[in-house]
Amino acid sequence: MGTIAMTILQNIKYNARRLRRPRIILGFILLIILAVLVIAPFLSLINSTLTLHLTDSYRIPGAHTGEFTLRYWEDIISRWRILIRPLFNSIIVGLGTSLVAVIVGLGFAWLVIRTDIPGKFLLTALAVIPYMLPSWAFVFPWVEFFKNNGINMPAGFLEFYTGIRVPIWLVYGPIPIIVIMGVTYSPFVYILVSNALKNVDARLEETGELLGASRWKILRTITFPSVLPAILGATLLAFSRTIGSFGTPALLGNPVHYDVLAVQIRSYMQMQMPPRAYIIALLLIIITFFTLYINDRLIGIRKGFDVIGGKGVRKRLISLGRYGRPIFWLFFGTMGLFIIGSLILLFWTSFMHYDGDYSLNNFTLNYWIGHPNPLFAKGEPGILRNPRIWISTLNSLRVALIGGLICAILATFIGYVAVRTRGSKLASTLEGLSFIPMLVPSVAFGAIYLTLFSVSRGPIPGLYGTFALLYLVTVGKRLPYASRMAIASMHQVAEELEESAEVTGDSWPSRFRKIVWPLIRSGFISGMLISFISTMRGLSLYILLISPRTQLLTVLIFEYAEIGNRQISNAGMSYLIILIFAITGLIKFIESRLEKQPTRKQAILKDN
Amino acid sequence: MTRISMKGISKTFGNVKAVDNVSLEIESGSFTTFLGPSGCGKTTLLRIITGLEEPDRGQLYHGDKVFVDTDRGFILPARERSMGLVFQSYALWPHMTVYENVAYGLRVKKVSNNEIKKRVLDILDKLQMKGLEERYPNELSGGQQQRVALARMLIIDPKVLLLDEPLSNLDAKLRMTMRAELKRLHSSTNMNIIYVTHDQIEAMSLSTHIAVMKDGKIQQYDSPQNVYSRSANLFVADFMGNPSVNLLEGEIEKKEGRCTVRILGKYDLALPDNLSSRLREGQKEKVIMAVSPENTRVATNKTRNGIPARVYALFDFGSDIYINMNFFEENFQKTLIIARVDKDFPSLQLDETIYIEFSSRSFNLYNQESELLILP
Repeated sequence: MGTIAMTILQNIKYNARRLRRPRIILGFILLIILAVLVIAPFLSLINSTLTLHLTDSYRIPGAHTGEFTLRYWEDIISRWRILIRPLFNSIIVGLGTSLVAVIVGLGFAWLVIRTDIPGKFLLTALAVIPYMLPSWAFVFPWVEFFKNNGINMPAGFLEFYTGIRVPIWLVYGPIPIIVIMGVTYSPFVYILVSNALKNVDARLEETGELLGASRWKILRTITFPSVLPAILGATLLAFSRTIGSFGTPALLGNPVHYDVLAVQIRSYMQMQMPPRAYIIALLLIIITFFTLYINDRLIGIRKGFDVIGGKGVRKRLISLGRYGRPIFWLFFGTMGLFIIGSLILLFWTSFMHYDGDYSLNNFTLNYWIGHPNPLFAKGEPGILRNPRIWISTLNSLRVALIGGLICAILATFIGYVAVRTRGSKLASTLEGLSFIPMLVPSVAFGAIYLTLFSVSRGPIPGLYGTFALLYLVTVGKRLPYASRMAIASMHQVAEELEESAEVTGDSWPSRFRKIVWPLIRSGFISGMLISFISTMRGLSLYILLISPRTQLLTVLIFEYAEIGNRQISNAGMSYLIILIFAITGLIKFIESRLEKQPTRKQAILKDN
Repeated sequence: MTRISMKGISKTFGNVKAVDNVSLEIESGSFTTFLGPSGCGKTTLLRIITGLEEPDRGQLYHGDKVFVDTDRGFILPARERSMGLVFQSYALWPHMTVYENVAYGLRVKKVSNNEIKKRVLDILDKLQMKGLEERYPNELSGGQQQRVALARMLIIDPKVLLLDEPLSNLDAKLRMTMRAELKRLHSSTNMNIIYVTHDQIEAMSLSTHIAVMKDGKIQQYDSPQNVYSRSANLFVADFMGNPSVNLLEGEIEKKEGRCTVRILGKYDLALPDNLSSRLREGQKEKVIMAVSPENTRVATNKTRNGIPARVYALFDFGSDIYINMNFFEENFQKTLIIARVDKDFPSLQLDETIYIEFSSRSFNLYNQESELLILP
């Protein structure tokens, strides 16, 4: 008996020793962190929909705040009709946007990757620019262009120069929402689809050719099925981002009472009715997960989301012949007009003294550097003199930098453990958990974090109104992309490189610092840059979470627009765009400087 | 003098038994090769010795220092084992120069910079890499990379040097050169070298001991000569030798107190007396006869015991000639065996008849069922 016990004990002791490997310990710590960042918020959200809120407890005699209740659910279910319209609108907008995004993104991807169209550099740049802008950036120039006296608004650019007055459904409502968001999300489609197109094995197509299939048949039966997962994945991505998107539907929908679920969430919050907001957030999440499920059944979702570069097999390009130039000008012209034209118009209007007058003698620097004047812009000082602008700029930078940094560090470790323990339950759990936030619509994600962290929980104090909350939500939402990139980066570092160091007697922290880090450094910086841009331009994620002390630039500009302070918001948006481009340029410059140093980034061998 | 002892080492990955209850004593100062086909467990065993892999069960000692003892729940981490390991892929750190790669181990030991410089340049010189210190790994040729990988480990004076198929990425000529280097390295130091390869010629030429492995088990652990000429079982016999050893089905019978083996259904070959105790009178035993090509003696004219065979194909390598033959007997027309002859052998035509002489001194016998060696 005693010996059996002894053997069992020794066995446990031995296996426990094996678990003490750094990657396992690290893995468990990461699991705990992810449980807090990903799982706990969900539970909290559900809990919040079942808990009696403060404001309601006053109205009910004998009720206590925080007690269990089904009233909110009963309320929504019994009055489900009021949800139908917004739900329908959300879905219409989502589908429409996806369609536009796919058409634009696929078109550009196809032309750039598979044909010999001239001006590829320009086309690629154009295809990707919308990504750097806030998703609602184009709302301002759109309205400026189309607004007219016929709908009781000052004349817009179109009316001013041509006298044309367009109907209201072209200015506000679902159509502009779909067009604008479709263009804004087309870069995602472009990136995912162009990657997939690049990775189509040329030999598959060449075999078809040898067997006598026509170019069109090959396209239809070989190429298209290969990229279908990417297209569907991109569609899903666009759809889920759209229904969770707040800015554009708010600015273009509210004036005509076109409601979507994402906007309703904020409305309920503003009306001091959080539980109803949370239920709608849950609804948004359910819709997204459902769409995900469909996609998974149809294809296999993992393939669609890989953002890793492929082998880059040289392929024969389809020759466009003499149609090349015209097609280039068609695409470049249309998109160029839309994007660059919008940006120019945006800047232009920020220099306009009186609204409605687009002539050159209406020029003013008032909204940029003017002193406060109650007759203009509701008394706000010019953007560059405006302390609120400066403070929120600093706040946004702070959240973007610190949130981005924490996220990148967390993602790096997740990437390390996931790749080094590949195939284990630990690895798949880490990958799965870090992926979940991608599927949660931004505004819902913000709502979730609000429920979890706004009150104190155990050792963690209530975080509402603090930067800590903003950092946390940034980390959570950016994690999926950051960890995908970290995993891709880690694949470049073969385990044998670490093992060689281990054999010479080096400790794990030292090995990580000297061997792993230098090789993943550039991936880390790229990931941070993307994270940074996403945060700087993010609105939906933060709209529910900011407080007077933690005002962010995007929210400030949105609020200006919301109250109709158009010139200031135009100037503000211009300012934000310049800021984002400037910082991106700076980081890229620093990056290229670092690359000049003699570090060889390709490992001799790839992990296989 | 420290030997490496392993007892009952086992390691399973999923449902695969990579190492199956291996016990082995590796003498100090030996050059031991783990030889076997892909998936036989040789690399896993190597990694267990270095500490990069942890066995599920077993004990591993280096001299009287315990490396692994699963019964007592003890395992010594890789970093404390003072062993050198060269990977098949070299695993040079691409972001460091040759100097930094080689110096790494000394930096870990906190050796002074002056000392490091001296020792690094010294070992690079010894391995004919003088002047390459500032190069990066991707600026080096395969052979150079390999020597850097070697230098990186040798510089820390390991007691044991382990190499995992280090020469397989090199071209044939370079392989020959490096083999010589490794052999010299072994004889000029008293390092214990453990080598993993699937190339039996490499194993034969370099080792003092060979452990042939299959399916996680050690099939034979012996000197190269014994593994080659007295292979413990059919697998080892078939694995060794290039070209492979010839295998013929046969049957031993004991008649009037003497044993003979009947091959091709009709030829009886005499067997030495020490075999007679194996069988009772009249008993038969099914066997496989193994003859190496160089022991397959052929002649163009019929000798007393010569067995006729047909020339099926001829391979002239300049220094030797290999003759592929098949037999006339009905059930054995598809059986091909190979003989090696000198370049002075009279020239032959296809389908010509030649005569083979087998003698019990030149062949081994294996029981057909157990595949174990019976003779010698």
